[in-house]
Amino acid sequence: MRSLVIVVLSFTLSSGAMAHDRSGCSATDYAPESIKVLSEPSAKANSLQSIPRERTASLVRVDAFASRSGDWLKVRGDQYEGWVSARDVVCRVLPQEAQDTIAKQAAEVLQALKTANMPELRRSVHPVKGLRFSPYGTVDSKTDVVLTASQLSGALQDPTKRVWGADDGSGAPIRLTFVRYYHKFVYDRDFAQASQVRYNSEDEGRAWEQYPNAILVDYRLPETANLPQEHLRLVFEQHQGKWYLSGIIHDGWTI
Amino acid sequence: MPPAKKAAPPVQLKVKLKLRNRLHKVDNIGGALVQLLDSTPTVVASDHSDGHGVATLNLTPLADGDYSCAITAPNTDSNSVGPDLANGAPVPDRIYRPVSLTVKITGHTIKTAVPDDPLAANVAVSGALVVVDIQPVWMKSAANSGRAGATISMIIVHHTGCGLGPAVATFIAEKGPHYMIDTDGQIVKWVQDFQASWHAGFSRWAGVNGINPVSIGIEIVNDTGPYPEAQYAALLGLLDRLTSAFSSIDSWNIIGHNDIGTKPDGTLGRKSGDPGMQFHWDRLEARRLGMLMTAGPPNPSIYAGFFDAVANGSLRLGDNDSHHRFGGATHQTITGTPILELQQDLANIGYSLGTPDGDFGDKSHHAVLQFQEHFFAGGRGPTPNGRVDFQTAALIKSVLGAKP
Repeated sequence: MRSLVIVVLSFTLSSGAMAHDRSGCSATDYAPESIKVLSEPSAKANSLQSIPRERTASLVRVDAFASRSGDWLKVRGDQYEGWVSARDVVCRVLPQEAQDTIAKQAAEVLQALKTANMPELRRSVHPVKGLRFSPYGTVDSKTDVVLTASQLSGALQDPTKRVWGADDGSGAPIRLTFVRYYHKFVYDRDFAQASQVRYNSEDEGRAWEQYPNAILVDYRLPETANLPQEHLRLVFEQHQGKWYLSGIIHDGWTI
Repeated sequence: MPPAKKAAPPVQLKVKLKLRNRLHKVDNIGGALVQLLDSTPTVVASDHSDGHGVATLNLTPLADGDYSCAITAPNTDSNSVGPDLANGAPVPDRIYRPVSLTVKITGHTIKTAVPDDPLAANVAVSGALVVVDIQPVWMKSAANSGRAGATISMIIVHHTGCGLGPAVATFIAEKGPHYMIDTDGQIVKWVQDFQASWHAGFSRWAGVNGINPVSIGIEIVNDTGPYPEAQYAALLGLLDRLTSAFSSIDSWNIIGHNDIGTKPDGTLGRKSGDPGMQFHWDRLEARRLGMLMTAGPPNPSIYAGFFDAVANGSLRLGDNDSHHRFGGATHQTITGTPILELQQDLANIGYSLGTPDGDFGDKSHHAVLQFQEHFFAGGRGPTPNGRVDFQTAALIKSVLGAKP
């Protein structure tokens, strides 16, 4: 069995995909002039309604669904409720709502990370997407390693060396066992002592490129005399009414 | 008759000078010659610093007055920092500025000690201890490797994005540039020019993948805010010395880390913000360094007449020549290939965007963003948005027209 599972999506979103400069729903740059609202989260589902691209701001996000062929958002309009492709529409959760929704779960995840409690951590992992580990602030959906919940259980004892990305200075592969990666690119400092915790802040620019519909929880440690500022970002994505951990972004200083 | 009193031993009034690296204070400077001279000038006290960086001078015989103190580390250099520095073998771990202090002695005690060149050292006098933090010009970094036969053809300008302390701690051991320019304009060299320093990471420019072997990296200490004039002066001087020493450097290829930093698949944007919107590339352009622009009015019919056909339109992500989708909408009347032309122009300038194919995808979007970041920086344009309006389009043509 392969130790690495890469969730292949049929497309990815980027910052440019979002005509998004505020919270709420908006059309992406990829959106057609008329966006279909479907009965199911599938391109083959029945079309319930077509809405002009400029009317997406009136949509209300209800739920999300992840599949290997792409992400879907369940939205409610004035007279309909249905699914739109996340390629066409972005619906960001407002910061206060994000905090209310995820603060307790995020705290549990952070505690699991602090204590390297993998059984506890795996309980939160996204059932479809798994958990993507990004060594730097720029998420790379093509090269960042994704582990499933079951793979996390014995990860700390796993002697397998994986390539987790490329070193930001030399460009050489980051080839490490999970435990070495964990102590360098996940919990290298005590983020439980973070001076600031933010929920869905606009400032997480690069993370939004890859996770436009997520809840991002940012733990920031300030710069010291010899250590640069560092962020740990937890990414939670919605699937069938629940929020799951789908990404851990270690946004340390890069040259 | 009481016994005769024993004569008290003569009092030895000594001062200790603690010598440290100004930028990395855990570095004690051992083996430095410290000489105190009177006005004639005659050496009246001297010592070599020990392994803790401490030299001891006996002030007992000295009268009150002004003296000078010369401090010479085992390896010093007083010239401008550039290719001539530390280019031999073996190379020491550190090279420092020579230091001269004007010292006032009163009652066999140093009252003040002031460096003649304030950029060469910081001095703190506290009783019988004088701490002298000396400016390094060379700090040997472990973050380098061979160039594998590649020729130096580029210079990459970075900003640190953090304060001096974390930058220095990182540059010594993990990753770093060839040169660093501090906020006061002082330059420190870290890696010999014939070696590749680890500054660029995954990168691509003008069809070359992996820029470390072909480039020299310069880090400017800047977290946020404007760059001080002293840094521009130091940078321009260093660029002059480097381009003089290495004729293989193409001045067009003096660019920012943002211009070249990619993800492994070649998508730009990994180093957006480096050196950032506060940096004035026009300071380099005025010296004919870096990418340039041509003068003259833009042609309104560029890019297949898109800007003629769509007033205030912008080519953008999702546009596609084959689908006649331009500016986010279908325009069947535009029959040319503006997206392909745009991609070819950006690629010819040097930006990484994959093979031009007429589809304005993620790679093209990030190439536009980095182009805008470079040419809008320094107050010359709005916040980059990745959309090619007429201003950006005309600028792309202008830059392409200036390329030799």
